[in-house]
Amino acid sequence: MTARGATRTDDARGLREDAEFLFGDGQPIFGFRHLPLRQPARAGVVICSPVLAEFDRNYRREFALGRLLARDGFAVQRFHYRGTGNSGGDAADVSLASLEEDALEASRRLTEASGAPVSAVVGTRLGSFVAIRLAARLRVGALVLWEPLVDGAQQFGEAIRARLLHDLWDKAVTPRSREALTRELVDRGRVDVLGYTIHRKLYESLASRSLAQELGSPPPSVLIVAIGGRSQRRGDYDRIAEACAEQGSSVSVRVVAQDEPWWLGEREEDGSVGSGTRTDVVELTSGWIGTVLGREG
Amino acid sequence: MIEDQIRVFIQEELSTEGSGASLTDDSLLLEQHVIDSLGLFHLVGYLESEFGIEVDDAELIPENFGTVRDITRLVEIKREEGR
Repeated sequence: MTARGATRTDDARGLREDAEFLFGDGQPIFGFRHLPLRQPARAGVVICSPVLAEFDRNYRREFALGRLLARDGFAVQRFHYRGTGNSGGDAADVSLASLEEDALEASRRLTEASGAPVSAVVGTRLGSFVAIRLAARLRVGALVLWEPLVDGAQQFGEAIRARLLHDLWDKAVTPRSREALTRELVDRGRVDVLGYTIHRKLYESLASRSLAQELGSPPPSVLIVAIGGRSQRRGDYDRIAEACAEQGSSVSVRVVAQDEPWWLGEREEDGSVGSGTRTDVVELTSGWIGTVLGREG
Repeated sequence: MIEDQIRVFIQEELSTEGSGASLTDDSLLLEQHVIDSLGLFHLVGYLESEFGIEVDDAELIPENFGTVRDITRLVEIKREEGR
């Protein structure tokens, strides 16, 4: 694998940060790495982002987590899936399998650049599915899931619900039905949700997947963080935690507040999307990873 | 009273600047943008958790969300159906 990019050091925070394009097979992947400046990394952490509007909503949280973990001695890799963000590729080609391959490539690059093996993976929403698969392939010790999807269909159900509500508010007319929007996705290959395009390939690769199915053989330590929003998922998370515990994993389910839904965040004056800078979940996660990997190390 | 609860929730939690003080049960919430799209999202979540109902996609229509009176009627019908 080759990479081209730029590096900055932050003496005050004791960090080094690398931004680069990773050139493996196919289109380049944009990656951003946080590293401790003055000592070798104690372990590697890969962050698997959500997609579509949720990618924006989570961006600052992931950035903050990367910095905090690097300050605590971890090497942290963030990246944009191909077909999204700054990476190359076509959004229409994105599928659960392509997301997993991109995460694996980012993991390889983290170990190559830092010398640290990947010991923990963090995933949010759809990124949780990617994180679970990556964790299984790399046999990591710790897995963190931020408000994971209970099933793949949830991703599209909530997105379409957000569009229905927005259409109702924006036009004060009866919005198109969920069935009509889903039919458009299948027939035309894509559907617009508040300026984000959902493509058929991703939809079809996820629609029948469930979190319980994905978590077949969970890592030894798992943290599930429920982030605000509607409460009906808490019970699902508790049931998944029980299933993991039956297989010998140590699982914690924690709840942190968030005032806004994933799909309809208010924009700040500078154009960034609000609430992503809340630090509760970041500090909780950083502390948990430090404790779990410290214990295992 | 259900309409009082809904009106107070909109006034105190959701109304856009300056629109809440004069809110009545017949104020046009959508057409006059008394609440924004995020507020509408919160309102549906509030109705579901506060009144123990589930609002279907097909019920997200102006006839059900145009005014506080419309919303109250929807809640009453949903609660009746749930009995």
